[in-house]
Amino acid sequence: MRFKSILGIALIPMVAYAANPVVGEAPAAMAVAPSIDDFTALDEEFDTALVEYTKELKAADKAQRRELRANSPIKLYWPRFEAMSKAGEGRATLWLVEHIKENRDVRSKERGAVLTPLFKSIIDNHADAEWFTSAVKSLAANKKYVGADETVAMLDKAAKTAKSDNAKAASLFFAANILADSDPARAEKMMAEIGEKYSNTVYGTAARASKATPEDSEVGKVAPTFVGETIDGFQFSIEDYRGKVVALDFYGFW
Amino acid sequence: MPHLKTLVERHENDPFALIGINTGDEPDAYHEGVKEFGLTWLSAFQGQAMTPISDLYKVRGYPTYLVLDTDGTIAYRGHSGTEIDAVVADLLAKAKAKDK
Repeated sequence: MRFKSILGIALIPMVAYAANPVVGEAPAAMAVAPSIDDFTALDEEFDTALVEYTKELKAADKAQRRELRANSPIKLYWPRFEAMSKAGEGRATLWLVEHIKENRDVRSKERGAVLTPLFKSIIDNHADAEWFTSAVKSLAANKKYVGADETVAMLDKAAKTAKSDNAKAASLFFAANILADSDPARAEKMMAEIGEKYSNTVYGTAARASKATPEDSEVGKVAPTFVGETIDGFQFSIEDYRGKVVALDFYGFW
Repeated sequence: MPHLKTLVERHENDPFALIGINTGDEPDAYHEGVKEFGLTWLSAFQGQAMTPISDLYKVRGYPTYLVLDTDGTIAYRGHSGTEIDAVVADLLAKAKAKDK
């Protein structure tokens, strides 16, 4: 069974997989405006199914594996996220773009055609969402499939419509990176705009990092200011720690 | 890491903060590490794709430590977890003397 609905062909009817116990009830209510709670519930359900599936896959022999893969969570849940996305839930659209590589039903040469309208829809409708920076990041990471020109055009729009300074800075930063070789003057201008307007953001930090020299952070200098982000998305500025003695520990658990 | 934990506990009531800047871990490995080492202080998570803070500070080896004075001036830069103890204590003593 191949899911092609995203390419403009009809959705697989829900009953097609309602028989599978992993999926549970056919979500009849999904056609009407989904809420963020619906998304969170579906996402959690998918994660649980994925953990179960990974466990089963590990224990399975070759023949069983083939069967399991034919009914993998990504195959079963993709149409449900897709339906939710079509009904206007932007988080579901972000889910699709972030999981497309795991969906073997969308071949890599089809990826651009699938991704482009999804990113456009996010940029047109969800530029004020708190997760918008993640979408911008994802767009930049998919440049190869969307195409450099199209990616820059979308980032350009995102930089204008985004609500948060960090999302604006991210859009400019990624666009500037793509343009660094082909249009260095424009790239330079974008980097300068980040420095002027959005310096105090995570991506403002990234833009300054590209120009940093070792002398900027040697003993005796004032520590370069930066904005850091925790794994939970909390952002903090080193400037908030003036008045305290601060130890910075650059580390990894690896 | 146990050493840093002691440092944080020793200066619990002082104007001191330890800030970790994680580089290169996958989210799962990061969560595991935080649990395993009992990391309680603030830590930025940079992941693998982009490491803006490490790039800004031109960090080449891990771990790298910097100690900043109350006005943000860099007082120490190096790789020894034990060396920073004395630097931190010294800066805190100076800050306290200035307050008086």
